[in-house]
Amino acid sequence: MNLDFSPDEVAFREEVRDWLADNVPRTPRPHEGPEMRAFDAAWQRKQFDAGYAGIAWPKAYGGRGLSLIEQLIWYEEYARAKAPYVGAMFFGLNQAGPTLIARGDERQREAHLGPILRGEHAWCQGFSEPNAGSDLAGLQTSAEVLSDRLVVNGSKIWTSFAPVADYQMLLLRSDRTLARHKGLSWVICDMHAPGVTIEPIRTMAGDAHFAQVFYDDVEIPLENIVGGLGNGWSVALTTLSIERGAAFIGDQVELSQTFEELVALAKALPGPDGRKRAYDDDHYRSRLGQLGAEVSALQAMAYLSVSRASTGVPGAEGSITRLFFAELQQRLRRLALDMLGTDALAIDGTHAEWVDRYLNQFRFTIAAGTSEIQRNIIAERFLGMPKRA
Amino acid sequence: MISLLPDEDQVAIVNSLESLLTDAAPLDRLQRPDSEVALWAELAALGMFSLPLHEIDGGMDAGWGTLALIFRQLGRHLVSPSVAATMLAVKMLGQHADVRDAVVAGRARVAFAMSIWPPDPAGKRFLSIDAPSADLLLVWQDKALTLVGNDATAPLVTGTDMALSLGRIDGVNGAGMATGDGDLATAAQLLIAALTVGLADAARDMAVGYAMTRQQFGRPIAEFQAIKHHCANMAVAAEVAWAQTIFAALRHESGAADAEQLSHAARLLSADAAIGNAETNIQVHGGIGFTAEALPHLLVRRAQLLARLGGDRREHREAVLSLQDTA
Repeated sequence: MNLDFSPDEVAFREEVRDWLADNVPRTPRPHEGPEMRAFDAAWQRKQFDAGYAGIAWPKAYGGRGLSLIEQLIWYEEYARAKAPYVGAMFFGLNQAGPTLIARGDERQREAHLGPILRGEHAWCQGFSEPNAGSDLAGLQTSAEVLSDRLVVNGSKIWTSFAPVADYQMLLLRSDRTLARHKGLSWVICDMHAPGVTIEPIRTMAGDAHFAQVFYDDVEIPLENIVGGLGNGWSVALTTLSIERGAAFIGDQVELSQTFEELVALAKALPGPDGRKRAYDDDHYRSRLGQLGAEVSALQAMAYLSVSRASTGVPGAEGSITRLFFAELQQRLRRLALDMLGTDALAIDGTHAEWVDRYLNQFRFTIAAGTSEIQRNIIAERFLGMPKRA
Repeated sequence: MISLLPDEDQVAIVNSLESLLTDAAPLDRLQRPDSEVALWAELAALGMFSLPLHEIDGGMDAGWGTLALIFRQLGRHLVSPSVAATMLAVKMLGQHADVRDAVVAGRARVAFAMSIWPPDPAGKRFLSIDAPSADLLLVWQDKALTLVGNDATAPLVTGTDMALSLGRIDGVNGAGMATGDGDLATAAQLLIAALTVGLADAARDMAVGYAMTRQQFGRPIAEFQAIKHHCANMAVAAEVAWAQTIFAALRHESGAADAEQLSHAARLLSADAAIGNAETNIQVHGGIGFTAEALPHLLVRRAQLLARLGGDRREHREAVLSLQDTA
């Protein structure tokens, strides 16, 4: 057990901190549309030019090949510098690229890895469907297999970045005579191909972060199948099990920053008696102290995760961290809303960003695996409880 | 390299301790009062109490991280918190080699005395825990630790946790033979936190073990999601508490300024985990869970005691927040 960084790691931290201080964009990140995509692409290109693109990717594929501890340092400094969210580049860098490295062929890697690293191609994920959410293997989007191409019909949903993406990791049924996990294929879908239509979905908080995608006789060449026809389930598991390495550290640092903002809010707001600060009210102090301890534990859990990842045997502990993180995010935002009193009722008031954060918090326990599914995973894979009733 | 996982030596120490505890500390011993006396000699014989001493004094220079690992293991067997008082006394008794040797050898026992809460106006009333056979009392009042002789005349109180006798003490006489500073108080918080995490682990494992064997509707109840989700929540609570505890212990080992705040967070989260898991364990057990003959009630009793030793959860929350401001 050890919590001390080596001299080389300390030097790397200084290098990264200096570079970020000089290069993090000063203008705010646009939230939607081509402006958002252009902003995300320019920032990715800047990182690429400085050698900070694909920090977890192997050097042989153009990445930086950093150790886990160096990645941890990068993400800590990235979050502390308040560098922008990776945005439209997320799925290329964190899912499509690593999947192609693990399961793609030489031509697929050649065509896509460089453009992902340089911020030229934005990707999205096409897994969930209206009738296949937590039950992914129930997906129905299917392809007819011809001699040289697939012809795809169906629909995907909750597709983040679909309106700005060039390519999609599309999981479909390439053999309709087989059920569930069999007969699936993982294919590269060109989002600009004829027959692809995108309908943005607005969330309760007003953002159009994701969309429903429809496929109407969309033709995809056979060479876009990754990992072989009919092996889609196994390739999708590769995509979903790609360790975000130390990337979670960034989420954790951001949560600590949000907690510091919450404490500042409590000091700025009057308490229930109208004289003392909310911060000095016993009830709010109790909840703030509880959250402070939990936010602190999340850092410890992130370090513990990196320690485990270094041993090369990732377990189901990742689901524990994700579940705790998701519910902690929600507790934190609920406290802010409670402290706002009737200000919480105005969407454009002085503290509108906290109302917005509250309205945006429901995704945490739903997106990318609901908390109920996480609990099942913890029970079955971590505690060894039997699978089905 | 940065790691919160035990190295080979630490795994070996924990394994040898575990093989002793499996035989010498079955949980059903706690149905009887003062059941730890025989265990003490065995722990001493294994060299447990010399671990924090320097090698020149016959110890292993064990840091707070190693001790946290060991205390989690002791906690899984609900070993008396006197084991923490003993370890702290060994650290405090540098000027009293003869007494220290007796403590290390298990010939002299040390027990905690903690301030009562809500406090009496004079701040002089204490409860001793597991003290009838103790030679020394480690008095824990806020951030002050003071080692005094045990006045065996303290009237006994019937404990909620029947395995540990409680004594009522009105005032502690004299300056004591040794005192500990704030750093030692932080260490005390960490040892209790680790002991408490161990209890949370034990409750989780007991619930899962029972759910795997108990049959209803023709199948083990472990197959039902309602039970699985209870157990998953217990796993999360124990993992959160352990991560915080070992992180805080290693920060304290390296002399970090935030170790005090981190240790209060560890106490809060370990108490949440231990009480929550011990209560949920009874729920998973159903009717047998709240009988006197079954084991689950022992965990609830001990969790409530540990959650009050050296400050309750309200105080830890307050400390986490007020120390945030000074950080």
